[in-house]
Amino acid sequence: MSSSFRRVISQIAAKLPRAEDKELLNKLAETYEKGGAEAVKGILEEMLAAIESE
Amino acid sequence: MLLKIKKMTLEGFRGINEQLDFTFDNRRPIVLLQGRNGLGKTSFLQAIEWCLTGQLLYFTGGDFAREDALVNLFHKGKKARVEISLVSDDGSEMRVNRTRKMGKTTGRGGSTLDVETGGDILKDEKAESMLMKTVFDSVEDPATLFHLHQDSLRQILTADPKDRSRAIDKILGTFEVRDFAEALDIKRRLTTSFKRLEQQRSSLERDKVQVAAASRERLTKQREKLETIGWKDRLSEKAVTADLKRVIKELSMVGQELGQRWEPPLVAEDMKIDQTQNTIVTLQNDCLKLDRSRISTAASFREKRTTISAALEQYGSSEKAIMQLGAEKSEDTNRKQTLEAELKTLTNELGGMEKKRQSLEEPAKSVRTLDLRLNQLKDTLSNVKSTVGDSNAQESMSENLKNSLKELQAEINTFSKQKQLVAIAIDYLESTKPNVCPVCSQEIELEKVVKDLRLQSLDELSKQTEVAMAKLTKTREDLRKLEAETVAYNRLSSERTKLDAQMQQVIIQVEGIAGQKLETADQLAKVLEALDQRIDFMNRQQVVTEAKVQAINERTKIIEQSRIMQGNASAKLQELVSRTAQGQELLSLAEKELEKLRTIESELGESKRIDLISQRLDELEDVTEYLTGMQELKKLEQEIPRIETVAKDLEKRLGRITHLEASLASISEILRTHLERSVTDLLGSLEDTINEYYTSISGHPYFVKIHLEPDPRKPLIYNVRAVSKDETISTYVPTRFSSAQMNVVGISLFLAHAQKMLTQLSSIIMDDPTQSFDESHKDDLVKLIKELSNSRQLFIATQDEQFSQGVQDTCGPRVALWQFSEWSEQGPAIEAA
Repeated sequence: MSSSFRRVISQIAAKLPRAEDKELLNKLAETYEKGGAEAVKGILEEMLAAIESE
Repeated sequence: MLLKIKKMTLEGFRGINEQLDFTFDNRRPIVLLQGRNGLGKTSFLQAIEWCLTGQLLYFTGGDFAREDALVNLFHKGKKARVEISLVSDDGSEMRVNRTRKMGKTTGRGGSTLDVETGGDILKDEKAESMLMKTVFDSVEDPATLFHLHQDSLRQILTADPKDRSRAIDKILGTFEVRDFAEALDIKRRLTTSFKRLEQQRSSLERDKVQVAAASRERLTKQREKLETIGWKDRLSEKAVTADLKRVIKELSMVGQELGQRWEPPLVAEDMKIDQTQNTIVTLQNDCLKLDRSRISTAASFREKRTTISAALEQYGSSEKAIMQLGAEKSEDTNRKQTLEAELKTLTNELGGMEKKRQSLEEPAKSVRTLDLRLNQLKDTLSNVKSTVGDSNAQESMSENLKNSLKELQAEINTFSKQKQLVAIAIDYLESTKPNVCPVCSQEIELEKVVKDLRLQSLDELSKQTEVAMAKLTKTREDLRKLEAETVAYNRLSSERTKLDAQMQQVIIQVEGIAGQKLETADQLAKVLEALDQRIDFMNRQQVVTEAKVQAINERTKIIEQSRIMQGNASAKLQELVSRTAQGQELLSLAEKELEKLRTIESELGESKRIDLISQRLDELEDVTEYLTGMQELKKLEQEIPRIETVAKDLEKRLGRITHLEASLASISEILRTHLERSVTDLLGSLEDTINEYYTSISGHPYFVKIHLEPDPRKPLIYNVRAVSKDETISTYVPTRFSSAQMNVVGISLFLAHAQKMLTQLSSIIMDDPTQSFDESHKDDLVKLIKELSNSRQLFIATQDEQFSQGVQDTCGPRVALWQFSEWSEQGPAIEAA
């Protein structure tokens, strides 16, 4: 994954006021770096499914 | 100091299997890879990108996450290796060697890197760092700067604004941020989740809380109703059990009355409500069974009553018949005797009559035959008499005929003698042959005389003789007939005389039988007719008398049958009343039994008691239903706090989804803002250079400039606008211009970006740059390539022979042409032209 992506994510994380949003961004960005957009959609789906089935 | 690629060795990388070595002449900065699609040109260009940057852009996710797309499938060592030697203007060299073993996915596994420069060999991270710094001046995402991917250009040409915008981001190196931002856009999915949870929550409220409220309302109405029918302050299981016991007792009594064996169910004091309900259902079924039994018993009593009634009726009617007919019995006996005597007389008389009739039969037949024969004889005699007359006339006629015969015979004799004389005369004349007549002595002509004698005298005599002979024959015949008829007449006369005598004898015989004088034979028929009439009359008399006797016999028989019927009815009645009695006593007993049966049947015909029990059971069922409903309601109301907890949990989860949605929206918003700002800044800094390239490659004669900017209304969409020279008029390029113009925009964007950012690497890669170009555009691009080759090393892959020839013709000795002719498992066949 490109360094510019990591830099942009860092910049954006710095702009987010809430800690949980930062955490979410980093988690999603890390997922993107590993598996691309498909993986991001996958993890978001898992998160929603987890909330639904609690 | 610009670095150029001097040498390149590659093996096991994508479409290339066996090792290939290339050396690039500094005097030929345009490296042209020519050949059809699918022969390995793109693999060659990707090898440069991979070797220098360690990755291939956009080879992530999807199918790339399912297999290793970098290492050649057929390479023996399952290993990719690319080595590039870079040389700077001052002659110093750097050798970059990157290898990779086949992994499970494209992203995993990475690669190993050796960089050798100035006698030092650096590895991996140090090597990567040094490479980035030396070759790319540590600029981010360098691949987009020196490699114009054919996919990016192809996407720019598509009519879909989103795909085009994605392609622009690929060229500008901002694609990953966009791709990531797009992946976070899951509004539809969030809405679905939200709706699901919302539905669950509303369903909980509707299904439980509302059901409880409705149930409470229904039970209140039910209680009010039950209270009006005597259950006020009694609505308890204990009261139901007590009532149930009373109902069972009542039902037992009914069962006994109907003669039914019935086992009542056990009712315990502490019986649970569901057991009570089951008992009620059982008792309701038993009620139905007993009611059916009642109907069946009533039917059997009705049948018995009908049987007694029928037997009584039979008894009565047979007795009446016996009494009526019995009185006439002696009279009937006398009458029968008289009738039988009459019948006997009639039979005797009839026998005599029939005998007489039979005796007359034969003589009457003879009389009729004789009479017929006599009549026939009379007719025949009459006919004969009319023809030949009576005996005297017959004799006279016979005499005349005999006389005629004699005369005719004499005449014939005369003619015979005359003929003899003529014959003698002819003989004489023929023998003497005289000339004169011997009688008259006159001269004669002999032949004529002889001829005349023959023809006239002799023939005439013969004819006369024949006539006389015929008359003679006829007269003889007449005489013979007359004689025959006379004989017949005489015979018939004699016969008639005999018949008359016979007739006389028969008539005397008939008169003797008939006992009366018969004047004529016709009277005999009248006698016979009268006799037949008398016989017929007597036969009828006999039938009438026999019928009377038969009627008396029938009456006697009826009396006998009535006696039998009375006996049967009596036996039946004795059986039905179960008593041995006779006559009036028996009838009295039967009447009493009948009355008793009527009473029982009347009682059984009504079902009031069972109906009342059944009604009571229904009432108890309603009470138990109410009590059950109350129990369920209690349970439901106990559950409501738990439901509220679940609802709160759902609310919480909904909140989490809302929260996640807000977080994603917040992140996406910042990402988009950042991306738009970055791209706007980048495009702003590149705009002049972009337009220089745009103008040089067949720019539009009126719209001489292009302007790229993010769409203010649609996030992540870039508008590509063409602007007039005086900047007063602008239009959207995709809507008005050909796809070739977008092709020019793509190349201009890439070259401007490279021109600005690629400061240390001379090499630029363009994969299939002329995708929708016409001849004019191709010519302009060739000219631009020639100009670029003054400062850049260009690697260009094309399948366009016209473009390739243009580059060779225009750029001549500056071109190194590599011809890709075919591809096999060993890799592409490449020849330097």
